[in-house]
Amino acid sequence: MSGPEPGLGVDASEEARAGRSEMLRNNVPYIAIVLVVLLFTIVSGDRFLSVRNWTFIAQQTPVLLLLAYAQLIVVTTGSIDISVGSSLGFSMYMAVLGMVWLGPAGIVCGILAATLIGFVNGSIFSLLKISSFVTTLAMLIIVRALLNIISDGGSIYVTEQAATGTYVDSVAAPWLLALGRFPNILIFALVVTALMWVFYEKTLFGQQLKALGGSERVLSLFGVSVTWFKIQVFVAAGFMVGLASLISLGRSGAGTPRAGEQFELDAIAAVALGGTPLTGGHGSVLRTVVGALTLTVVANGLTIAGVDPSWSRVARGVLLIIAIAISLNRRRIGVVK
Amino acid sequence: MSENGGALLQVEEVSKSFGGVQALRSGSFELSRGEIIAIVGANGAGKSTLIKIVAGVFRPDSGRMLVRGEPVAPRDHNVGHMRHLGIEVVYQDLAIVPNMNAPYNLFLGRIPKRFGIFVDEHAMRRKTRAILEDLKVTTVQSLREPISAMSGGQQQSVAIGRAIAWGREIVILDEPTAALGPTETGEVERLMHEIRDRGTAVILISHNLEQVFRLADRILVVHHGLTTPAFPRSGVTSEQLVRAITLGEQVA
Amino acid sequence: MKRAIILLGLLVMLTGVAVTAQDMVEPRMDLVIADLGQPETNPWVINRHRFERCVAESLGVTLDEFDDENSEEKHVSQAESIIARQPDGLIFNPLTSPAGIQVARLLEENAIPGVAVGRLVVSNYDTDYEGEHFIAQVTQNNDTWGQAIGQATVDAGHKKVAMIWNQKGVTSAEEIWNGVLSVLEMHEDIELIAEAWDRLNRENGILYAEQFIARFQPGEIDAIIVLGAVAGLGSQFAVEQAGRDDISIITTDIDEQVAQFISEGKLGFSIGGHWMVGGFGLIQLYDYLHGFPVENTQPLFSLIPVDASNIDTYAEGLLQGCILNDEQVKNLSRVHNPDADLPGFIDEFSKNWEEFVTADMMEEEMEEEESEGDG
Repeated sequence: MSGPEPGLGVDASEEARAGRSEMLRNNVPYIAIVLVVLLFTIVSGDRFLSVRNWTFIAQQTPVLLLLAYAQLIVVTTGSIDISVGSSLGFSMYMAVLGMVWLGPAGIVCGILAATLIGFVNGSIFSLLKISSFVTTLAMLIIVRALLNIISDGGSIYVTEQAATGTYVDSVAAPWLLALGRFPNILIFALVVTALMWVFYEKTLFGQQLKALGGSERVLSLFGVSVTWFKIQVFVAAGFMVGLASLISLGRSGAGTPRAGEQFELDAIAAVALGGTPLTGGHGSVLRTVVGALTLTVVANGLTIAGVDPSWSRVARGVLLIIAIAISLNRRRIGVVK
Repeated sequence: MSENGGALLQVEEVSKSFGGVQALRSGSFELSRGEIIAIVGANGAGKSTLIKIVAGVFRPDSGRMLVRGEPVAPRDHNVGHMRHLGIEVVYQDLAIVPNMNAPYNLFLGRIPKRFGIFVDEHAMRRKTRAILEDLKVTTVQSLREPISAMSGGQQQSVAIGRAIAWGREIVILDEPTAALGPTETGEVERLMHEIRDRGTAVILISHNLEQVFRLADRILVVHHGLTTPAFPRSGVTSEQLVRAITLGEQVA
Repeated sequence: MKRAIILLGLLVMLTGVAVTAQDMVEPRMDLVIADLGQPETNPWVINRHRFERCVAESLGVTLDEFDDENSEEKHVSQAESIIARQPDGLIFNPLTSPAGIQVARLLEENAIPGVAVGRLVVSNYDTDYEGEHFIAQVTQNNDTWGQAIGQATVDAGHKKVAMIWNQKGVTSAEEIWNGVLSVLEMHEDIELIAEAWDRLNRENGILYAEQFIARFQPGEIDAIIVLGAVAGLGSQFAVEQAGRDDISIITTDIDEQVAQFISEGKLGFSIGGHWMVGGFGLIQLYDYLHGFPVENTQPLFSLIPVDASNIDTYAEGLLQGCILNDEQVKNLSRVHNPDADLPGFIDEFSKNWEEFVTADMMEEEMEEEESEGDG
């Protein structure tokens, strides 16, 4: 606030105005998605609004959404995890490899792998006190390299029926492919969303995430074991990446050395579009859903409208800045890091 | 132990250094039930380090601490254990988590749970309302809003309320009224008497010597990392106290 | 002699056998074809787009281009969004085989015909693929591509060679390298002294070349084979900066810069022309949309080796992208020419491009003279 100190009378209307802008800020993600849908409806009409297209959107959003949840867990504490893309690719490969080794139950190898990566991330970050950005940057590189080593550049396919020699490496799992399609993939995402909402809003763990993002110092002053908790945060995020790897595997039908590349950026963008400050302390599951959906719908809508791909990326970048510029609460956030 | 059988807290020659810097060379004092002791000293004299050792934030490099006559084992010397023993602190900056609501801040580190994982928000809000009413804070609009939306006085009430609610044995107040006006200061001082009257000991850190004379039963001076033996308020003049703080002179 | 006959056949085919109206299908002018590939960050993609646009214009097809930001997931998502646009057909350059398989599945589920170009979706279409809407994959011959690079290395007399290749996992890249090895291994005196498998960009081209320069003294290394001109030009830059004219760079893809360096002797060898697969795939799709069955589901384009001896011809004839005029394009389509033989042309062109280009240029000159004469 600038200018002279407002008097008492001014204060009231000032408060009211602050209340209104607060309301606008909180609702920016919802307003954004409505505007985006309206815009593309006007531009592309039937093709954009078709059942087929929304079926595609329903298939495209879940993997991004679950990765965004993983990111939300970490970002709420004021840290960041840029290894989720590599972790996703690695876990998908471990899941399908597990199925080759152990049959359908082997798919848990994917969840275990992602959770383990989360544990390593959290341990390095918390015990060695290396910033989460640097830690997960290193893991982004290492995990991708491990995937290249384990896969030796090859892919393992998930097929409808037992392979007849077409692919060297494949495993028959029609149920998994079905999980990767509409409506199953959407149902899976909705169930995870419900659980995530309860976890984030109602459990002590979820509260602690926000508190850690608010003031780590105060938590340790009051006897909360911050060191162990920070490890748990990354483990929880890793588990969420593991869930994402299952539906991603069902959707893409193969564990490949390139799966998940650059996905970390979309996950961060989805969280940011949902109005969650990367400085931590606040966040919302529902607005993250809207953020992920907006990101998907904009990419989809621009393609349907036939916008040149490079300009499409410019448009998405600009949207991100505008949305965050409006939704950022500058009164609450003293320093932008 | 026999000579100090009644002491609630005994701090014996504790020291602490940080990376070669001796923050506290030797600190010793005792505290009895229902007593208010004031710790005074210049900035950087070691007051803060001393109370953080008592609160369990720092583990002393040497010396020991006894609560109700029981020595605190070094491995138990942490905040969780001290809070378990009934020692609470109101920090100068209040130590609240600004983005969380008042109930969360009140229950920090002691959140009531249901089914082992869920936060019992209902119970927290109910108890918070009761505590704030006790403290005569009635203007709080919503207990769901982040505490940063509250006024400074209300935030202070939550911080003090937290210490009173959990501090059965000892409440440590670090400059509790430095940022307050006369009315609120009076309110805080009234609360300190109330705490003392229920048998809880109070450690008060203050630069306000008038306040120290008004409240403390005994006064402890920390100078250059050393404590002088605590003396009763009645036996000292403010000139003597100032000399003790600035020059480290013993008070006869 | 045989070459001359083939050439004659080519010329006759291209310069227009008169086609009678009753044989022809009415050409549709309302077709919208979508193209999904990678961002325009290397000469291959740029050249493929240029040639494909030319072909689209000649056939009266609307071509909409999209890219996948080099991500498997986005490749599939983009394909879905494109299908929601309801184009008449799709040309796609699969980022990887797994991504390509997903696109093929989408084509089948939504009954939209599509042709893969540049990279294989399945290794053998006729034996490995069962659907009907993913109709063909037009790619280059990776074996002969690699062999040509290997042969160029042998011919240039290099004995100690290093290489910089795409990170593992790209089938085409590994096939090409196997082609190179098949030739090098026949010559016992040629030694492969270092390998680098990584992302192919200019920075890595520079980085690994510098590492090789530091590691090997003059006489310990003769040449570096670099896949792709973007990295290749980076390596060339590093070698030139270090003043190591003992090291020759052998690369692939030809753009204006590569052509310039080859003619100046700064680059030893490159190989290209495989960007034409996009345009050829479009013609196949165009014919299919007019009811013509696919004749060859997996035509292979052999690449054109270029060194100082033929760079001028290549640069004049093929660099600008629009190497066929309207009439020549139409003559490759069965819609416009019942005798069109696209697979044959793909095959013949790569063997006879030089003669074709020279003849074509000569003919243009003749036409110009004629028109001047008329005036």
